[in-house]
Amino acid sequence: MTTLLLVRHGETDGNAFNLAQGHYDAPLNETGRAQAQLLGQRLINWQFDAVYSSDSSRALQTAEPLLKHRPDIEIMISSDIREKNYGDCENYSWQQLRNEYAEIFAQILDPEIGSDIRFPGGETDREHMDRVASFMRKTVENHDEDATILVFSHGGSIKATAAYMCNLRLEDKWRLKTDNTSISSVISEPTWRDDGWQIERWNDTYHLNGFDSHE
Amino acid sequence: MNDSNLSMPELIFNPSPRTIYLVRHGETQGNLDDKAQGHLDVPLTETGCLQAKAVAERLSAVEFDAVYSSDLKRAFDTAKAITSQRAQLQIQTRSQLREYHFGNYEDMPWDEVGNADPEFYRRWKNLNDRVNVKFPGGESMLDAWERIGGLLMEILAEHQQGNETILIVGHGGSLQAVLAHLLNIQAKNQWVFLFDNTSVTVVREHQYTPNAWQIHQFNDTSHLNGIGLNAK
Repeated sequence: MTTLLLVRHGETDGNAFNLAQGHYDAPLNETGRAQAQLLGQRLINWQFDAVYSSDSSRALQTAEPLLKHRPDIEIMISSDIREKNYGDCENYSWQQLRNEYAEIFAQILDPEIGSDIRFPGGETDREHMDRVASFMRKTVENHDEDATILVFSHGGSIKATAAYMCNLRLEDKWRLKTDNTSISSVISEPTWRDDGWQIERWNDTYHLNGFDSHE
Repeated sequence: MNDSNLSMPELIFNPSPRTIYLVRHGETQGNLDDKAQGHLDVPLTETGCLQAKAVAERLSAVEFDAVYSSDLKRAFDTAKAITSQRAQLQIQTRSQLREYHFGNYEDMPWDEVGNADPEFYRRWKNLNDRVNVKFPGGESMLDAWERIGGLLMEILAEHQQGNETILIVGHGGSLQAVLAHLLNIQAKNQWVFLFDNTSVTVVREHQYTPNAWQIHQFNDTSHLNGIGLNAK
């Protein structure tokens, strides 16, 4: 059984103000840095066979506290698992996108065609998934069948990974919510007589507030 | 905390989203022995009872407006633990929330099912074919998908006030079907969700899209950590 542990980065100012952040390289804000500390504490005794991160600062900064506790870990960095590229629209608020790119915005929200629509200079959801999925496929192949692989990345990249591995429709990936520093995992050759990948846990933020933020 | 994803089908502000909690029953002897249990009415093990107490404690701060449970003992007793401190809350039992009916294979270890009927077992193991499989003397997976989906529609129609929080206690298989129906995931993909004993799953209506549901948390067993109860 291979386990992919998928961790989303901590909060950035762009997240707090609800901006479209893809390749734009925003740092964690104060909340995000505190979340990363708590995450580092949570993961301190976990066993990993390999650790990867997106090369975006917010992902690397989220990994930092864990790496401080665990000098044994060698982190491997890749641009392939970056968030979707929003092109000219990086750092736009959703409201701005709706107003200034009304037509594209409406198309993106259409489940029939949305996965193949891009903002000017940006990526489509499908292109983003293909990029992330090909990284994940290679990574899984490069490790033992029973490896646990930790990956620090982004909300969109985590959802794309789950959709690809578990064969879910790309247009439904928004139904999987990922909060800042959440841990989600997908596993192969699972315990229950199946031959596909399955979701083992989703959006676990136990380290942030005791139980969870939904109550 | 913010969610980064832009792709949602419509933007209609829904000020009072509903929330559904899904809880799988605690451990049974059949779970330990990896047996097909289905409609067999087996009790929780001692560990299972402790797991039920732990999940009750974990959910003690959540105010439920309604509780639905499978009428099988292992689910009902788990629901009873959760509602034990809530005098005004009645558990509404629904047989449609039962596990799949495994027919002639109930009480058989899954390994033996494989030996007894390799052709059947091969189809069951194939995720793309599984939805068409009918258990001899039991249910087809599509029958189960429809009975569970039908009940879910009734429950949702019953609770239209908004802001309501509903608990559903069921089984590994029946909860997969509930979750897949809620998320608009195809029947053949319902098996991607692995529910551990007494795990907590939180699904909530999208704030901008009524009747569209999002997973906020899946298969949380943090209440079992550190107390030696983390059996699957």
